[in-house]
Amino acid sequence: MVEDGVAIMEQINWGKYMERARIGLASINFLVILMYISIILLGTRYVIDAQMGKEFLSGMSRIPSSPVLLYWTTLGMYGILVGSLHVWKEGSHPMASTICPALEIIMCLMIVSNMSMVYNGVILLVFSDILYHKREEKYGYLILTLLAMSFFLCNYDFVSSFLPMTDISQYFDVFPSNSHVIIQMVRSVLETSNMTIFIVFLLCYIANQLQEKENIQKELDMIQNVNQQLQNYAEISEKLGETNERKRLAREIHDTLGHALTGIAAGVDACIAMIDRNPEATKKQLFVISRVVRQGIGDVRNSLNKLRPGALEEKGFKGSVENMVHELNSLGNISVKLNYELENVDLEKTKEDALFRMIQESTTNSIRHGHARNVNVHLFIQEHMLCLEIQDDGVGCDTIKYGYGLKQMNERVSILGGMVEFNGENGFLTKIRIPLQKGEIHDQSINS
Amino acid sequence: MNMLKRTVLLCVTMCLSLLGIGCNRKVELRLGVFVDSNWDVPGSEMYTIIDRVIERFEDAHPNIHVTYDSGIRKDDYSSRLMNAFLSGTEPDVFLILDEDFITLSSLGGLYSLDGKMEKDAIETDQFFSSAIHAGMYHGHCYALPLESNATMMFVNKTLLSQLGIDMPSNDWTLDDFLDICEQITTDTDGNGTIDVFGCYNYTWLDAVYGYNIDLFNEDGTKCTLDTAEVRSSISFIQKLQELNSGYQVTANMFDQGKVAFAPMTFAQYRTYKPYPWRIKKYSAFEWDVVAMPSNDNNSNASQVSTLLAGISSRSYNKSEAWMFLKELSFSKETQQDIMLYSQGLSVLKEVVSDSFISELLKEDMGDTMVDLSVLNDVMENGKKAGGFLKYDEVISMITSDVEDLIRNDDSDIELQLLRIQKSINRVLN
Repeated sequence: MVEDGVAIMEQINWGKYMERARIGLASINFLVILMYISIILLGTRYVIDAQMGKEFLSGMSRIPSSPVLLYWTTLGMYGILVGSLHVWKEGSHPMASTICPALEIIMCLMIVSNMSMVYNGVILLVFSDILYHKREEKYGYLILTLLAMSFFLCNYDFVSSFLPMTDISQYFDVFPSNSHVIIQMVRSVLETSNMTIFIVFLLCYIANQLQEKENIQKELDMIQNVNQQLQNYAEISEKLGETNERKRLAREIHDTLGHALTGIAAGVDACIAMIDRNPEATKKQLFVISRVVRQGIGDVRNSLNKLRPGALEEKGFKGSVENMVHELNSLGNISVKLNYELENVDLEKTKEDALFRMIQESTTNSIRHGHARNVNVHLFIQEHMLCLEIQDDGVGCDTIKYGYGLKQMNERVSILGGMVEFNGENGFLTKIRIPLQKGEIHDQSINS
Repeated sequence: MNMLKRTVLLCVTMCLSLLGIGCNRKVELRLGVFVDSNWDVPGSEMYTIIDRVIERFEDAHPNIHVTYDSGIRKDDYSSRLMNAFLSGTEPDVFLILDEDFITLSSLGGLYSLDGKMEKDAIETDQFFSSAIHAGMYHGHCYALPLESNATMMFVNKTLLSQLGIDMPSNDWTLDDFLDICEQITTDTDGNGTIDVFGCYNYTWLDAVYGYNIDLFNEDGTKCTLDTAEVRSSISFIQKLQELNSGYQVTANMFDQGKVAFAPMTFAQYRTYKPYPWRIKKYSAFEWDVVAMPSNDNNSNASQVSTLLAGISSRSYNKSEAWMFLKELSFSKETQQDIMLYSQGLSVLKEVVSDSFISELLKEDMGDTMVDLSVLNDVMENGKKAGGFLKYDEVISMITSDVEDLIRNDDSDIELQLLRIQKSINRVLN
C-alpha cells in the first residue's frame, strides 16, 4: 500500500498541464482576435485615407460591418467567453455547468461569424474547454462532434461560395508591402501557435486519460484482491460455523438421544435379564424405559426447536410473518400486503418453518427478479387444505425457469405432501396447497 | 423579500424611463446628397430641391430631424459614400450614382424596398418604366428613382434650312438619318475640302441602341455579338464615317455650327436652350432636339439614365428613411421641384404630363419639337445602360475592340466579332 501511494505521488499531473494549455489557448486567441479587429480598424482608416474605398469595396462580396462596432462587439463577446471559461469549474453550480457551455458556444460562433469565418481558431478553445469538462457534461460527445464539424464548416472559402461574405483577409492586403509582410508573419505565427497549443492540450488530455485508466485499473485490482480475501474469510467462517453446528448437533444428539438411548439400552438389557425371573419388576422397568423414551422424544423436540429460525422461535408464526412484511414495507420501494386468515389453526413447526421460508423466498424473488411494486400475501384454509398465495405486479415471465429457490420450494412442499403452482403471466403468482393434519384446526364445525 | 421587491421595482422604473426616453427621442435622419447636377451641366439647384423636401418632411414629421453634409461635389460623392460604407458611417438615405448602384446592391449595402412598397401599396406604374427599372437588381427593388435623363439628337436647324432640308420628325429612322447626313456632307465653299458634316460624336453604341440590340443577357453572364443586327450597326457606322472621307469632326466644328447632328442629353438641352446659357453656347445658329433615330420608327433608341436614392441596409431608422425616400421620389411636389430646379426629368408620369409643367417647358424652350408625347415615349421605352457588376469594364472593352474593327475595315467582321464575343464571355464568367 505504501508503495502504491508513492507511485501515485510520482505520477505527472497532466490535469495541471491541461489547465495551463487552456489558459495558453485563451491568451493566444485573445491576441489573434485583437490583431484581427485592430487590423480591420487600421485597414479601414488606411483605405479611407488613401481614397481607395471604392476599389476596396469592389473587391468584396459583402459590405463589411462597421469596424468600430465590430471591434467592441468582438471584444465584448470574447470577454463573455473568457468569463464563462473562468466560471465553469469542476464542481460548480449545476446551473453554471449548463449555462456556461451554451454561452461559450454561442459567443464562439458569434465571434467566428464576426471574423467572417476567416479565423475560426476560437472554436478550438471552446472545444478544449468542453473536452476538459466532458465528464460533467451530459451531451459532451455530441457537442464535441458538432464543434469539430463547425470547425471544418466555418471556413471562409467554403461558406463564401454560396453565401456572400466580407473577406476580412483583404484588410491585411491593403497595407504597404513592408508592413504587410510583418503583419502576415505575426498573423501566421499567432495562428500556428494557437494550433500547436491545441495539439499540446490534446496530448495532455490523452496522457491524462491513459493515466486515469491505469489508476482505475490499479484500484480495480486492489478491490479484486480485497474481495478475494473477504471471500476466503467468508468460506473459512462458513466452515467454522458448519463445524460448530456439527459439534452442537453431536452434543445435542449425545446429550439427548445418546443419553436416552443409552438409558433405554441399559433398561432393555435389564428387562431381558429379569423378564423370566421377575415379570413384575420387568414391567416396572419397562414403564421406566417408556418414560425415558418419552423424555427422549421431548428432548429431541427441544433440540429441533433450537435449530428453528430465531424469529419463529421468538414471535411465533404469525408474528414473524408480520414482522417480515413490516421489514419489507420499510424498505420503501415495495408495498407488501398480508392477508392472514389462519386464526384457528395450530400448525406443525415444520410446516411453519416451510411456510415462513417460502414466503421469504417468494417476496425476495418478487423484488429481485420481478421488480414488483406491490405484493399480496394471502394465507387461508380451503377444504382442509392450507393455502398460500403470493401475487405480485412485477414483470413476470413467459416461461418459468427453475432456479435454486423454486426447486427448494418444490422440495419443501412435496415433503409436506402438498403441491405448488407458479404462474408468470400476470405479474408472478405462487400458489401453494398443503394438506392439514387432524388436530391442526380448532374450528368448532370441524371438531364437531 | 423586501430587497427583492425593491430590486424589481427599480428595474421596472428603469425600463419604463428608458422606454419613455426611447419614445420621445428625436430621430436624426442623415442624408447623402451632392451639390451639383448629376448630368454634368451647370445651373443645378440640388440643395434647393433637397431643402424644400426636408422642410415639408419635417413639418409633417416633427419628431424627425433631417441633416446632410453640404458641399460634397458629384466627383467626390461616390468615393465618399464608399468610404462611409467601409467605416460604417453611411447616411440613412442617400443618392446613388448610376455606377454605384450595382456595386452597392450586390454588396448588400442597400435595403430592399419590396416589403415597404407592397405595404404602402406604391404602384410602380406611376413611375416611368425605365426609371423604376433602374433601381431594380435581380428582380428586387433596392432604390427609387429621383430624376431621369435621356439621350436626344441635337439638330442644327439653321444648317438644315440653308441646305433646304426639312427638320426630321421624332419618328425618323436610321436610314433617314444617313440620308440627311449624306445630303449635308458637302464642300460649301468649293475649296475642295468638305466643310459641313452630318454628325458629331455619334458612336457605335448609339447605333446599337438605334438597332435595338441587347448585347448581354439579363444577368450579364453572356454577351452576344455575332448577330445580323450587330453587323448592321457596324456597317451603319462605317457608312456614316465614309461620308466624311477621312476628315475628323471635332467639337470645335460642332460649336461653330458646321455639324447638323449630335447626340445630346435632355439635361443639356434644358440647360443650353433657355435664355442665359443660349448666349454662351450655340448662339450662332438655331437648334432643337429630336428623338434618336431607330432602325424602325416604332422602337425607341434613347438611352435613359436615372439618379436613384436608396436606404442603407444598416440604417437604424429604416421606417423614417422610407418615409423620407417616398417624399423624395414619390411626392408630386418634389418631382415638380425637379422639373423646376434641376435639368433632369421627373420620374413620375403624372408630373411630366402635368399642364403646369408643359407650360413651363414651352416658356423655357420656346418653339420646340420636344413635346409631352416624345418625353413620355422616351422615358417609357428608353434603354438603360448597365445592370450587372462588370458592365462598365466589359462595355469599354467591347467598344474599343469594335472601334478598332470599324477603323481597320476588316473584311472578316463575323470572325472578329466571334473572337471579341469569346473574350468578353471569358471576362463575364
